[in-house]
Amino acid sequence: MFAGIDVGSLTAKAVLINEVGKTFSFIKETGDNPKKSGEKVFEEVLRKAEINKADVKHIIGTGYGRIALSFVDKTVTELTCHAKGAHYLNPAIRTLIDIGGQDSKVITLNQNGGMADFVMNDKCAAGTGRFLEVMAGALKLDLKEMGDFSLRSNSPCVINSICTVFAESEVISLLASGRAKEDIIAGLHQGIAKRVGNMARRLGIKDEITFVGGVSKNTGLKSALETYLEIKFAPVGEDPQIVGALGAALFAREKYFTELSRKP
Amino acid sequence: MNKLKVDETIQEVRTSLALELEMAKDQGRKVVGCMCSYFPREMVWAADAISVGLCGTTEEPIAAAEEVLPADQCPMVKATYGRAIANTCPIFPLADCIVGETTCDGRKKMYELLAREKPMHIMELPQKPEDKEALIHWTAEVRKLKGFIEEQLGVEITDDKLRQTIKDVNEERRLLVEIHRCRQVHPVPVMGVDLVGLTTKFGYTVDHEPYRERLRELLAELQRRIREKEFACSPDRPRILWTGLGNSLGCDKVLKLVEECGGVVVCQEGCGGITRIEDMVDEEKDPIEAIAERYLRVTCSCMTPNTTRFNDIDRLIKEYRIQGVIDLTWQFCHTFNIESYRVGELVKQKHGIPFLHVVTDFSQSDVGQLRVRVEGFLEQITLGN
Repeated sequence: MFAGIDVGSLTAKAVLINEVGKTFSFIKETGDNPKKSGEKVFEEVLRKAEINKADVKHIIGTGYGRIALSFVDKTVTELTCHAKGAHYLNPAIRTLIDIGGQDSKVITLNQNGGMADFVMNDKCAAGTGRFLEVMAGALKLDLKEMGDFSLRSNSPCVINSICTVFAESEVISLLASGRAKEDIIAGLHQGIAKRVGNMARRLGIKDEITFVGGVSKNTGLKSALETYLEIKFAPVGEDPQIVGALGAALFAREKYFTELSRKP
Repeated sequence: MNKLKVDETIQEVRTSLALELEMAKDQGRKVVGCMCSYFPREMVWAADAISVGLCGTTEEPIAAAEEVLPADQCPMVKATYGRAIANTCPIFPLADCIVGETTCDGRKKMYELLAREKPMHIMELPQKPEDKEALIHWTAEVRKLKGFIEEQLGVEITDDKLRQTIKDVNEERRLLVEIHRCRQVHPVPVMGVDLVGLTTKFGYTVDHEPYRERLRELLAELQRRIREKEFACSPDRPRILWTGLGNSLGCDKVLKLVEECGGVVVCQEGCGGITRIEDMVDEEKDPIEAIAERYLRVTCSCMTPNTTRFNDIDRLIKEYRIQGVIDLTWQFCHTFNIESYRVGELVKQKHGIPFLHVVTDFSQSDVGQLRVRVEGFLEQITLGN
């Protein structure tokens, strides 16, 4: 078995893959200790696969918490891992939008699944998982409800602020003025779609395009992005939240066999 | 010179320069503070005075500057002003006068406030360097600068003295160019961070001959290392061309990050880089005209169009066997920020190699996020296929 551990700012993900491509995965919240949650998620995925740590031949760490992981053999950035994972799941993919807890990225892939180019948002939470979490808090909603909620809107609000702090006050004002939560969330999603969509356009969108990372589970935002970019996201056929960890596991497997073939 | 490293911080380097400056001033020498690559420092040395860079490169003075300047200004503008008013810079109080140029809006307006602290002269820099009127105007500005320095320092700058200084400074440029070109070999004999540290430190000088001597020693050491195959790093490290800003001891956090993450910066274009030294002042022409021509050719993004910068990057990618290009812009520096789009086009489309545009300031707060970008960029080179 080979492991990929992706410790993001909000969730930690672990994927195990064997020689023939059978996978196991596990997701949990990162909380305040990225090192511990990395270890925990690894233990859990081992339990799920009913194997021991000794059965894992190579481990690659990724995500913002990668540097905190002492048990991994090597680290690779989540950028390269996402490209790798997405290419494995669907080799036709050339553009990847990944929105995670604390940043959003657009990655273009070459035909071998290598990263050809990328762009990331600036150092702020605008348009990220954290942004949506803050907004869900302001609207007294569960984060998971937001997607379907926004799809019920007929007249989305216009949210002008892209800064998390200002957007939150704008949301509170809109609530005070009696606007429906559906319309406010739909407005937020359109705001994010515009911001991330322009980032993708700046890089140049090549078909097929897909949407991964925890925030891609938000159906409302996904649909807002498809409308804004006038595209249809290609499916990856796997939980979109584990694509980075899967990429890391694939690197672990590749690394193991390259080293093996080098041995006399 | 066996150890090619600078252990001092920029603050320590400035403090030791301040001591030397004080001694020189005791002997009657004058000090002129300068801000930018557009400043013709030959004019100062020809007056037997000392030119020192007063451009801000560190975070500490910014807080004081923000009491006056808006926070959303480029960190270099804020740090430069902060150095003057916050009493943290040991060099600033020693300057007899300061010269600035109308490069960008932030600097230009900040200089109006800086002028309250010291006698200050502003050179009006034309911004369409390819128009023939630009040189006529700039030549007149160089003449005015001569008048300002003569008046401030109570000296006469003769043509003979100016000619000799041009030769001296050109000699330094030639040495520096040879030093930089030692990095065309693979692997390089010195890491990018170390060379930036050394050249920043050496550049803080009160006399030319000792400066040239240090450069000669450095060059000899680099040549010895190349001869004896004593390389600074493994041949696997991706060779990076640096362009834009952030090329100086004190504001080199991204440069350090690139080398910590497994790359090696083998060439720098832009502020503090090779394109600011490989251009010589003509030694045959009228010295004022020759100086004006040379300094108008500096390729800051405040110029439009800035054609030479693109030609330089294009050439350096080939000369230094570059595998990826990093373009660093200080936050709120509109001209470098916008120009970066075209630099990216050139690098990606013409040369087909990875390009990373980094926008940051002098603080350490974003190093974690920057690390992802830098590592990802290096992985494009090492794992890209």
